[in-house]
Amino acid sequence: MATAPRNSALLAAPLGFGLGLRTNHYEALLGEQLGCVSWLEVLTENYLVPGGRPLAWLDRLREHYPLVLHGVSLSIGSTDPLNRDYLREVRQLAARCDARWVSDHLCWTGVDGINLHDLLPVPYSEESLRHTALRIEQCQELLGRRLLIENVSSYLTFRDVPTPDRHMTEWQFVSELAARADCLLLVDINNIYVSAMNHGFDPYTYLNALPVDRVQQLHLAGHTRHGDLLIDTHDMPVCEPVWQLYAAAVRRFGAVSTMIERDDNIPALEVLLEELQRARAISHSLQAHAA
Amino acid sequence: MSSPDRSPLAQLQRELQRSIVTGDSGLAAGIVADGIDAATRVGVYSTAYRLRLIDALAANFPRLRDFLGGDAFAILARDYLDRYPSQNVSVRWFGHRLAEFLRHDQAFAAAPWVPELAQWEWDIAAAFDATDVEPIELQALNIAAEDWPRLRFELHPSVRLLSLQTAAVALFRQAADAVAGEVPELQLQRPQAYVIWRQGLDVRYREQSDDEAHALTLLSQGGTFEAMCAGLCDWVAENEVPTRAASLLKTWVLEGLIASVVVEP
Repeated sequence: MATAPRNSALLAAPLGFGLGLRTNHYEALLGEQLGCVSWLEVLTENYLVPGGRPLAWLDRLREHYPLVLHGVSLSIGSTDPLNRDYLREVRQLAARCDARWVSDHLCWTGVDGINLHDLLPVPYSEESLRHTALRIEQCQELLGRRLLIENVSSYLTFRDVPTPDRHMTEWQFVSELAARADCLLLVDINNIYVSAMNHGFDPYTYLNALPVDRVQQLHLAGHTRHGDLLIDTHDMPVCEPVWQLYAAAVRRFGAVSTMIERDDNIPALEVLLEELQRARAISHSLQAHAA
Repeated sequence: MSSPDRSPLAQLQRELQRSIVTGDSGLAAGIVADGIDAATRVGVYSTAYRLRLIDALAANFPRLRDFLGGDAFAILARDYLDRYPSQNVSVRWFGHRLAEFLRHDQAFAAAPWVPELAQWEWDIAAAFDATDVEPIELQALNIAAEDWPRLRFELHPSVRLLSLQTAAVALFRQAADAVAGEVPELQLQRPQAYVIWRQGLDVRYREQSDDEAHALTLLSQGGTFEAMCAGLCDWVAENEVPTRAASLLKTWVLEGLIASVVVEP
């Protein structure tokens, strides 16, 4: 299958293959492995601190790697008011590290001022769609740039909401949200797979419904099985079905900035570089084939 | 302040949040349960919520966790989480009221080292990522003699001053090979003052004598050099005050504790 056409007007030039920045890799990234990846994804909240060592590391890393910001506390789907102080801080951090783009998740993290520090699913209803799209627009206005919104792994979905509201699939919701809010997408291949297994849908149906012209980044990660559910633990290597889904994503989206996101049980940098090499090989092979 | 959102979406989120926080599955009717029941599905979030925040608290108070042991710490963390759920964008700030919470917890009334160690770890962390400010150097003190009484000093944003009744700092130092539950004699004969700060990127701390602690605290509260000298009279003879004051100030500047100096008009 040929690579689908991409709308270059919306999308930044691909950065290639990267990794999520983790503290235990700082030394290697600036030392013996300098230049080993094309870019790094920075967990926004870890650097929303007044100063000191975390920001000093970031300043050094930005001299050698393009950086992108990835947040977990935007809570874009929440019915609480937008946290404008947070957005101001994110904007300042993005400027400080010359972030190529800023992403967060399609989720809510709490209401009534509480942060559960989890990525909770939104209902796929018209009310929720309208609410979330409006908030993304407001965020983009405050940040002065388009946001990338990432699909989350989920363990529950809400029942159909009463008419006249309509109920959508997650992929319909995500696609329509991107169009309405004029935002971009960060597609987590593992999250699609985990949610597909947990809710009984076809991950390829999801992938093939996403708008090609809005997908700017891909995540690869691992998960764990707990009983009947897959849990998005990000503490394991990428599994075979996710690699296969990734190949389908490359066929559909073409050359997209791709990275491995490991949050726990973090191995030596070399181990992740080896895993990233597999992503690179899959992508290059399919790109060559398409050409 | 805006009134709470009463929309169906807000109600749904409130209900799920309540289920996650309390661990009950009151929302079951609103959740798709094909194959796997709703209680199990909500339970994943509920369990993860507690584990994540307990882990975050342990990461922010590693020595306290070492000394109490994992099980005791988890009980304490659950109680704290129920009392003070996170309201911050980052888990970095989860635990900002833990020392205060422990001071009022009857379970630790006979173990004052517990809240003191919590306070100490929090202050060390606060110094670690406090605002970057270049401290003054000794040349900045080339000030006309007649202006000295009216000098005011701003301390480096990382500076934390505290006075401890227990040997919490000794625990902090030895915690690397600590055995949970094994706590040495901890009550000090008299309170001990400490200063914590960051020099460059490195966190430092040291004991302070009573006169130094009093003087630096006074400066941190906006007191003038003259007031500081007057305070030192409680510890040293009046004719020795200028020497003592100059010596303290030089030490603070060399250690990077002073961010700025101004002459009060």
